[in-house]
Amino acid sequence: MFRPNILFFTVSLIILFFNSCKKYSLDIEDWSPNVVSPIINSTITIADLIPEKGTTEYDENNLIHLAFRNDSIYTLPSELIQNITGINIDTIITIENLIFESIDDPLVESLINVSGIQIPFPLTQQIPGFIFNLLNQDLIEPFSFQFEEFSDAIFSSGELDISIKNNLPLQINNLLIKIIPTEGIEWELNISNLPQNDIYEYSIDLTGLEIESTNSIQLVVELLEIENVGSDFVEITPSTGFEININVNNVGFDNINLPLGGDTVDVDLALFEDFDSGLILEEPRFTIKVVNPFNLQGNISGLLYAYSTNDNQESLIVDLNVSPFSSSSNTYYEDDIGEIIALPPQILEYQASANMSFDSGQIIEGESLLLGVDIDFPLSVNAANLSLKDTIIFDDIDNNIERIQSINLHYNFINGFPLGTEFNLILHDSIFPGINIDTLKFNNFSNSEINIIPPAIVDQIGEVISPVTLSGILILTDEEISNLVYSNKMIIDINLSSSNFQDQDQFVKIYSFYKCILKLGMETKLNIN
Amino acid sequence: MRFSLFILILLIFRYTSAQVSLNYSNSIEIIERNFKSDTISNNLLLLPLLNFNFEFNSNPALSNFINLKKNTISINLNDYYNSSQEFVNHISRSDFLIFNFSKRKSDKIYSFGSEIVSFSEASVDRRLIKLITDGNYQYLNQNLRFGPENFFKSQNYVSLFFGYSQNLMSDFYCSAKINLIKGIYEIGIDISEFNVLSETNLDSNLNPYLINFNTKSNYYNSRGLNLISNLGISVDFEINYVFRPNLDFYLKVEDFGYINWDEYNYRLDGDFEFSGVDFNLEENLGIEFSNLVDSIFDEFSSTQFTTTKYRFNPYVINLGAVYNLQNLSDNLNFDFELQKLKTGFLVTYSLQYYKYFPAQKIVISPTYRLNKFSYTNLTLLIYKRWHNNFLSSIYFGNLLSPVFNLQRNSAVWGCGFGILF
Repeated sequence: MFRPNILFFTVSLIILFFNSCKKYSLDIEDWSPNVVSPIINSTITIADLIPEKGTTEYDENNLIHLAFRNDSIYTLPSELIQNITGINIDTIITIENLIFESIDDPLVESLINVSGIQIPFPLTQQIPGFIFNLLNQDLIEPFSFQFEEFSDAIFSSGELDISIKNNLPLQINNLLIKIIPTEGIEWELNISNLPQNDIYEYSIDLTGLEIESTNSIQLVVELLEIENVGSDFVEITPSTGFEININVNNVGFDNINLPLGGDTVDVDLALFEDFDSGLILEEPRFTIKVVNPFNLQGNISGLLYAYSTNDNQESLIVDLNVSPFSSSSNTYYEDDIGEIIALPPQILEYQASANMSFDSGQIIEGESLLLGVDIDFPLSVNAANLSLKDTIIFDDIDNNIERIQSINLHYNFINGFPLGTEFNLILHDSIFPGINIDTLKFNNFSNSEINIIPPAIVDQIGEVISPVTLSGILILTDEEISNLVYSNKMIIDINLSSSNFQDQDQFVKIYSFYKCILKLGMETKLNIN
Repeated sequence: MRFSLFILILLIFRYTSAQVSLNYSNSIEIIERNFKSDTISNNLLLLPLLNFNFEFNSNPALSNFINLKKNTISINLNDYYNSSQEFVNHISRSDFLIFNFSKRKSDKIYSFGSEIVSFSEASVDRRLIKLITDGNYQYLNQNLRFGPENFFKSQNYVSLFFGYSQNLMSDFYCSAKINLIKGIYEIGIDISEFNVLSETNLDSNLNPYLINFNTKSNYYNSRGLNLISNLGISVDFEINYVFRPNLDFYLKVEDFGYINWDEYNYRLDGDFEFSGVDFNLEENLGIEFSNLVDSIFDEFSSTQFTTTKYRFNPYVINLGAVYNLQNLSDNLNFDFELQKLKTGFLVTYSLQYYKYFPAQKIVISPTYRLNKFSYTNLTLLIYKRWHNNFLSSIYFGNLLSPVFNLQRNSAVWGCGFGILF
């Protein structure tokens, strides 16, 4: 049988056995594998960097163009022309206005006091008739009618019809008015005995009239004599005065200068934002054209102003003949617009005018004369520095930097771009998304000082025959590793440059399908202890 | 643990009495042998949870790459590789006796009990170790081929056994056990083929690096923890033949049987060439890497199926002779042991000297063990009988390891406690 002490010993032994275990932790030392692995094969096409949108277009061969067509950057509607050819101006000269305008004159002031004229005029009032004997040509200042549509014109036909209505309570005995359409030409209207409420009408033939540098007709009252009724009272109203009506009818112009004004040409030039100054294109084309639905002819001339981002300016003189019922155009090429392209332009403005000859009867109602532009700048470039950017998002990547001792990035860069390529990766993080926390530069392996990767080989017409491969290594510093691991966005920064062309006259075409491929492998030493 | 072992050793040397003449190979067996030769007691109870044997064979030796620092086990992988030969091998076996009760009736002994057995085996090409520890940079442009020599398996199971032993004739003594087994857990990887090639392609239109790997491998683990899953059966049997009065021969087979494992089986049969994530600017790089990982998993984890598979237990065969010295209380034992492995057997030769001190009822038994893992494994077993009815033994090996800086090692240790009544 069990003895008590053996039982006690046994139980104690079991308890001791199971309580004497020690809990150990496991530590793995000296585990620092040097691992190489491919990472990415990133294909970057010109289409990624220069997407087809706005004025950036790909043609049927996928050659990139800055193409803009607008057939109506300026519209000359028939209504505007009809306004020119059918001027109709009504104006009223009232006694009340004349008094207001001459209120500071002591004579007028004393006259008001003597006659008891109420100012402003009530609907009706009685005043002594002799007051009108004091109203003469001295009180009526010369006045003019403005024609904003044109300033210079030679009339081939037309009549200027003038009518004057006597709204005075008395007869006009004599009225002499000079009409001055331009310097050196005067027409006189000599009116006698025009009874109350009667209308005087007169017509002037405008044929052969030539006006220059003015756009108004001036009227000067040379003589005004009104019937004398002594102290008899007459009734006046606010509308008492003269009513003058001027009509220009059946006008034809041997020549008229129409200012077309100036404005910004609404062209999206975003493509040029990527280029530095000095851009040379092979076959740029700028066309200005007009569609003329009327039986008028002449020419349009003007200046096209181009401004770069730093406000450098170049200009182009444009000149275009306008023929009846036809479209016409004028195209400008590299010789004319090369300096504008070299800016490169960011803003285009124009200032233009038109010299026309036409008859008012030849203007078709509802039609418009259209002035348009057609811009086509194919990207066949000689001198070019092009900066392009795109973004890589790479969240969801584990970033345990403590396990990374070193990183060397080996790359094969297959450059299918026809320009020397500077390739950088700019690192961003989510905390400060707008700040570049680091830049990884993919330098020329054979010369680390040169960071331009040679362009692809092109043929004589500037098309890529074969890409150029460049290999290299990026040895990342600890700081670069940290920045790389903690970034979650990379900006691909590509600068394309013609600076290392062997042939200075070489043009290269930029097609949307051109691509460069970055094949990136990583050699990293990890610490997995 | 150390403190308790110290107490045990003190107690063992304090009280001892026993007499053993038959063979034994560990601290539990020596107690059972003493019960068989005992003429006073009819019952033996091996104390619950205090009887176990553990054997560990390792190439390279654990001491070459493992250090104990306070409460930390430090594994130095570089030392692990440097101390390895063509392959690294690790084999461990432990037998943990939950309880065992034996009863003698005339010349027959009946026993029953329960035991937990754990067995693990691993073999790995040292180049694969180097690949894991140092990475693939040093193997650039070398095609690394790994074959079926690379594997890992581990299983443990609990058995309920019933034993019987008897003298058949005057010269023959036999015993047998039948073990009803319930598998607890198994896991294993069999690599039929695993090739890795890392290439450099600098100055080319390819990615600077390219990795190509393919494998035909099989990964399995057990499923089902209910009572009727993973059942098996095995037998132990032993025959002793008294060839001369002072010379016995014996044959022992332990745990010969199988378990019918219910398994999840994952057949990996894939070929993957990775030359980088193809990526364009309209895509999200993080998502593309996730897609890459998914495609790798799709490639290499395509076939999972459940199966039921018979797997042999890691049985052990011992064949040997016991030569009795002087007054038959001391003897010399030569043993030839075959431990079943995944492929073949682990052969271990043992030469054991058994010295009995009657006054103290203590047995001190040094053993020299020789196998491919160790040529210098000297072990010591100490057995003592306390007050005629309490039996204890302790068994620990690799005593020469402080003297020799061993490339490989083989370690055994265990203890046993029983009560006669």
